Amino acid sequence: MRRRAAGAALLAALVLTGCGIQGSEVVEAGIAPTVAVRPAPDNRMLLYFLGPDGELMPVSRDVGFPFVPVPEQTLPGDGGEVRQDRWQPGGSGTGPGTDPRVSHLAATKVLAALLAGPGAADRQAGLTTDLPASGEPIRVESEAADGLRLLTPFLTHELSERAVTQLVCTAAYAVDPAGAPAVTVQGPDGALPPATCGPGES
Amino acid sequence: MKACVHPREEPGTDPADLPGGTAHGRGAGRAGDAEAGGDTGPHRARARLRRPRPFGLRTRMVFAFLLVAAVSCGTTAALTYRAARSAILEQTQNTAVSAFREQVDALALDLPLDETILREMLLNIARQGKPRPWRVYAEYGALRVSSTDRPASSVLTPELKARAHAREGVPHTSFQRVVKGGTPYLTMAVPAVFRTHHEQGTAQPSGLVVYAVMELREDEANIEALVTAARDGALPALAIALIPALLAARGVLRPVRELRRAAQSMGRGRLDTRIHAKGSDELSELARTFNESAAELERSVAELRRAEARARRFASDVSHELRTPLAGMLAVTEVLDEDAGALDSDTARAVRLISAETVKLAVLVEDLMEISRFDARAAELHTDEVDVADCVRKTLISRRWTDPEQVHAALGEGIRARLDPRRFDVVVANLVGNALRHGRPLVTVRAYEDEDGALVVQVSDRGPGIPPEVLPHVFERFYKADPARTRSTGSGLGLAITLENVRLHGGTVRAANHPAGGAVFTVRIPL
Amino acid sequence: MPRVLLIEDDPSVREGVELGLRRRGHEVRTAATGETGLAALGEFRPDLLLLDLMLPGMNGVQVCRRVRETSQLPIIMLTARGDDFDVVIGLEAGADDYIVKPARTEVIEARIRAVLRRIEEPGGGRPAVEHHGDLAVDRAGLTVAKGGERLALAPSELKLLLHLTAAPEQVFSRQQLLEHVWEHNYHGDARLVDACVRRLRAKIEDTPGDPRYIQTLRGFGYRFGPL
Repeated sequence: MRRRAAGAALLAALVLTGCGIQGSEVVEAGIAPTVAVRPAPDNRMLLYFLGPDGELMPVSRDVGFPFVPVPEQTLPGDGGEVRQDRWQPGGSGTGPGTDPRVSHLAATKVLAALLAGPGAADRQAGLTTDLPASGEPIRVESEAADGLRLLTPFLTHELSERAVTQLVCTAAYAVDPAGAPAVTVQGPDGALPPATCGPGES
Repeated sequence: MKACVHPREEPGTDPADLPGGTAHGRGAGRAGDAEAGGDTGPHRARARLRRPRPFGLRTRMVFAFLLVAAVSCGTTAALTYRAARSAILEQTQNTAVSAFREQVDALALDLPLDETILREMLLNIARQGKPRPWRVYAEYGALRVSSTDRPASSVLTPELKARAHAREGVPHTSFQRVVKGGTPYLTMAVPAVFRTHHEQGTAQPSGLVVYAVMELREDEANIEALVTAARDGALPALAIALIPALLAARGVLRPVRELRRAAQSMGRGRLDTRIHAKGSDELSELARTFNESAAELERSVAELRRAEARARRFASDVSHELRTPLAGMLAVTEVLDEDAGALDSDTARAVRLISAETVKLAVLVEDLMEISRFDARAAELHTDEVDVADCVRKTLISRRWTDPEQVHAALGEGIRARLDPRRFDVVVANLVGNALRHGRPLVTVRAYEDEDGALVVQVSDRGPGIPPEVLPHVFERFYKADPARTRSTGSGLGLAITLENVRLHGGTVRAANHPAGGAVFTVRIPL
Repeated sequence: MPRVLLIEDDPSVREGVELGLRRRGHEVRTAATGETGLAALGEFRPDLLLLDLMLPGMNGVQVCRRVRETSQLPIIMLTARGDDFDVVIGLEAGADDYIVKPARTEVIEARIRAVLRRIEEPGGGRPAVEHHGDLAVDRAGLTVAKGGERLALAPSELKLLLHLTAAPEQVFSRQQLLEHVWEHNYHGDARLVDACVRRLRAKIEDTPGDPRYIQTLRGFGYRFGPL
């Protein structure tokens, strides 16, 4: 008798608790959507500032070049080989920049823009930078195995981790669309270990 | 299986015709009493069987059936419901998530984002809610923008936000169902990523996270409808389950009832009761076993009855055969008595002994004949409407019990009863004679009508009473209270004949001891 | 002393009863069968017939009927108790009384005397002939005539009628009638009375089914009249 009653109670509980819509855990449902960021990759530079919580926030700035495919013209930044890619379908497997000096020149400009700090629009969105202001630019040198070396005017050991990340990511994406190169930050007080701007490194 | 009772006997056969009422030994249950007569046993048995049973087999079977039906209905409904609910929710979620992702996918942003532009975009997305309207919220840096009046939603859980802002691994779309204030919501979070390059660029978080909050009320209503449908389906199913339940109960109960009726019928003495047993289930097995047992019982009882009948016929035949020579002997006893004086003393004693014993033998044979007739149910009642007081008085006078020191009669006058005068005379004479023989005067005979309208004749004496161990046996034939006294002046059948005569009148006779001493025999005959 | 013819097949009973009665001064003739008994009737001319019901060949009831065809000889049947059915048939056939065997001579003789008694004792102090309706009852001559025609009544019938007419409209219970007419003890067999009444009604009533002279009072007994 008791067992039967217990069974009935269990059944009733099952029926009752199963009713309606319950809350759930957070469920992942596919990858995140990809938005288009203006201007087009050829005509912009990406600066990495920090969000209110210290997270890395990319800012895209128009570099002022019109989007005109001029094959014989070498341009600073990574635009050259992109154009070449477009002209040569199937050439996407080729390496990054064909002329490192052009890239370095563009990267130097980009890093200068980063050092200049967030603009008015950026600040309105709550973006900040952790890098100290500096009158001197950062120089960019090539390293072995496609690496970059940033020669900074300020003491690297005084830089916060976020500031280093800002430098690393901005520099990496300035020279390579995939942001792959390892970046070594070197200041007057010495160099930090090479780092990449991979996801998960903030 | 089908079953029905087949009494081969005519329904009109009176069960009372069959021997069964035990006259003796019933007194054992009542200290100091020996009762004989009408038996109320079968009536009580019938009353017991008619009692209603709230937790009988039928109720239990119906409950069991309903329980099984309820469990299966419930389980099926629950499983169906769960599956359907999941399907509904999944459909909604999938549609909503992909629609939302599509919407976000189509965005083109300037980084950093401008609040006004962002708001424009959100309003645009909010108009595209699929499958239901949604409210859209966005977080970008310090900006909190929404498609509604309030920049942030309380429905969005910190877990969801944390997941959307997570830096580890590839950014994912995620959703969560939240029930807030009784309303279910689907909340979705998409961190917008962008490609750093057309083809090769990695997906980088843009810093923008867009949330959508969709009410699931409509889905809940759909699910409610499912519950209602499940219930509406289950209740008729239960009601329908009642029909096989009752049928099954009937299928079991009918044979059981037949069996009970048959057993009852057997108990009332109809040993030829059989059950019609068909089929091969356990109940028909039982019915067959019952039939076999009944047949066996009938056979044994018939055997016993035949043996008993033979014994009775023998007793009857013996007394019949004894009677004729006795008739001749009895006719000449007077001759012997008269002439005995003229013989020498030894011969005279012998002759007188023969004469006296002949008379006693004649009485004994007569009594035996009477008992045989009772046993053979050949005793007839020749009733006449008589005055009871007159009757008793005449009995006493004809037996010459007229000495007021010996017998006192306290008779209610004017009681008229339909009696067999000869048998009634035997009853009164036997009781008074018994009292005079075994008790001591004064023997009192009372006759009155009791409150139930029955004639009561009571014979009491002032003797030592009847020993308790003898009481249950006083009406037995040839019962000797004192084994040493092997012969009494009576035949030893007097009280047995009294009992039979009273029974023939439909009455009872009871032997008891009066608290003040002395035996009391009470005859009760319905008027 | 009365002359008694005893028809009894059993030798011991026949002899015992004969012996007993003869000792008491009766003149007794015996017969072993109905046929010899009937033959002896005419020659012996008994005052009373003692008739065993169970006889080989012609049985007691048949003998009784044969006797009643021609005479109103008092008849007492000898029966064994339990032969109830035969008793009723015997009484219907016209027997006046019956004795249950075994019986002492004393008892037998008392019955014989009782059956014979009243016939010899006319009621005194009454008019010789009483008229009740169509009936003329001659108490002295012990005859009853209906419409001038003399009726043949058996002794018990005559005695019953005389007893009832002696007190017209008085109710007698069966037990009283048994006591006074048959001289049985009180607890007699009421069927004796009933059978006698039936026989009497058949003889005196115009319609026996709706009796006028001998009326039944259910639960009490019988009375004569009122006419």
